Amino acid sequence: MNRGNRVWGIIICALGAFYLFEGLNLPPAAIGDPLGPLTFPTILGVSFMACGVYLAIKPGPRPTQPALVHRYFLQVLMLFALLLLYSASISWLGYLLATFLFVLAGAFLMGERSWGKGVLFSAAFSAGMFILFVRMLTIPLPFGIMKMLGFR
Amino acid sequence: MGETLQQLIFGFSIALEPINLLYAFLGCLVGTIIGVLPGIGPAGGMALLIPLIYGKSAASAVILLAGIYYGAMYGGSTTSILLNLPGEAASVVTTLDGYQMAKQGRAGPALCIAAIGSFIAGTLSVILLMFIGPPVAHFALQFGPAERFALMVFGLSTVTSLAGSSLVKGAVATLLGLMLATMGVDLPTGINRYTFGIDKLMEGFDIIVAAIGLFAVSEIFMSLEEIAAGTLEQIKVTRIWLSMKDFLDSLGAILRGTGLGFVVGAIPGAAHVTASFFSYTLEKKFSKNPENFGKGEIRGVAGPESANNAAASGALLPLLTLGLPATTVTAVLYGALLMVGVKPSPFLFQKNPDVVWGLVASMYVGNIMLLILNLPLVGVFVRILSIPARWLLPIVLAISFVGVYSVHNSALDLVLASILGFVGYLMRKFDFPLAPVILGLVLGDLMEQSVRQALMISGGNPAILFQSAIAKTLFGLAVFVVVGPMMLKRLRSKEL
Repeated sequence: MNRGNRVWGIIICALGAFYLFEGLNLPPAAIGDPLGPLTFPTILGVSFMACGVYLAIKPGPRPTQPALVHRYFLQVLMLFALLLLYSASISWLGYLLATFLFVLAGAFLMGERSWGKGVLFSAAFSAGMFILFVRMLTIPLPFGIMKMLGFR
Repeated sequence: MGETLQQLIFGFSIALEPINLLYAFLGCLVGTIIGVLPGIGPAGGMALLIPLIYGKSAASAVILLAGIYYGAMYGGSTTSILLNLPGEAASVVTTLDGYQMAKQGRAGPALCIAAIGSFIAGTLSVILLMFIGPPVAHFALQFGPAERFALMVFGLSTVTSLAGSSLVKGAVATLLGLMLATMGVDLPTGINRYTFGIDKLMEGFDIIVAAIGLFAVSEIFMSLEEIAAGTLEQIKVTRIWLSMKDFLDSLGAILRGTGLGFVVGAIPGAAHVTASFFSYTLEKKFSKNPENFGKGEIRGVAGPESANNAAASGALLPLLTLGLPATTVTAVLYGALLMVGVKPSPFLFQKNPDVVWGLVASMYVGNIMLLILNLPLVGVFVRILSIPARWLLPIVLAISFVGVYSVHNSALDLVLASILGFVGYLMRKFDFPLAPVILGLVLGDLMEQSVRQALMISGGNPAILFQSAIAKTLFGLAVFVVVGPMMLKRLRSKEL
């Protein structure tokens, strides 16, 4: 028996319930649109919950991947936090600066040990990306506080 | 037959004019670059470059834009294979086995077969376009809302039944994709669904954001875990070029993918993603060793990549034969044709033979150019993998995020991609397949709209869904692929 799958069954059930609950405020079917905006999501939510119930009752075989190990999972969570931080800061730090900091922190998280190499590498990379995307391909990436530093 | 050949020769005389050759080359080059960079996609890339066609002749304009289209379809496979980073939705399928091949040091053969498969599919489908184009276009146009709905149901049921170890987990993944697809403005009524009061979510959940998050970002989480555990091995490139055996193994998959892709590509709305998913499931179903799929099976790259490119030609069919744009890309092409003074209509072949035949001939030329352009690059691309993981992984994340950001110019999409990356990581750890989420997200909207349109037409009578022979067949097949394997299993266990 497999506890992980049971837990997932319950989580899926809860998500399905939340999805159905969120759909409750949608208007029902109207004339000319027999199904209306609610029918399809309701079918999906109910089926999703049914799958969750099934998994909780009959969890099936153990996953083939190695189980979550606390210490490694912590690293994964750190990278997740780093990604969120990068996403949140890109608008005000600007693409160039945010990417520099992100790649530097990322390289250290993934095993880089030398400050000199790390800084050099992430500076070269973020500058290269900036030139390629912003200058050459003119993709509108955010400038943020770099505008104050004279970047246009 | 003789007439077609004559017109093709006329087409070549246009496509081989030096200036048009230059446009074809430019288009292929820019298209490849756009394809390699995630997020922009063929339609976006073509739209970006539309200003370039001002004042050009109609034939040149079409040749340039078609080059971009083809090049982008080619380039999309590169990052999928090397970095598990799908630049557009259709490349998601390529990651399944392509990235596994790269991990085993066989990135070179994977890239080669993608290029060669695309070349064969591109060339053959142009021939198909010339000879059986009109009947296929008419078949495709029989797909009304009810038939489209049946096709979506069939597509989702095949992917659900084939992916992963457990049917329930496949269903969870498919439903998750469909649920994500319901986010945003509901088109028939104009009300917001599941936007949680956030304006940016009104546009709906973008496929690129989901594909990059679920595939590329989650892969980095997996790698990081392996780094922490000390089990991540540096990829050793075993060979760069394709062996004859690999090629012969894949040839059947390429030909099947071409035929399938061409027909599915012509069906309005279904497009490349469905074609490549269908090809993958077809190959897996009819393979002698289906368990190899998902673990670096070269046919799992060859088939979908060919289908993808054949679908690109198939999608041109309704535009060229009937004057109807069936996909976003052909809609951009439609707009471009109008700009240069050509009105797409069922009479395009008679009124503007230079455009049609010039385009057809330039497809041959473009396919050869792309092969020449891409094969030498294989060696260069493969070298990317020798960058140490501690540098490569942050780079991949940073490049992915440019792709995600450029979809709507919104940092919110970055947050969504990060969250989906984490969700994808958890799904991988617990054996939930990822590919059905993407197919669900791609097809969900269309599926819901089709069934609602069908019922609007019939005034709420569900019988309309099962009226035509096409729909009945597709529904029958959908039930069969889910129930069939279960019945077989039961029968076998009774015999034993």
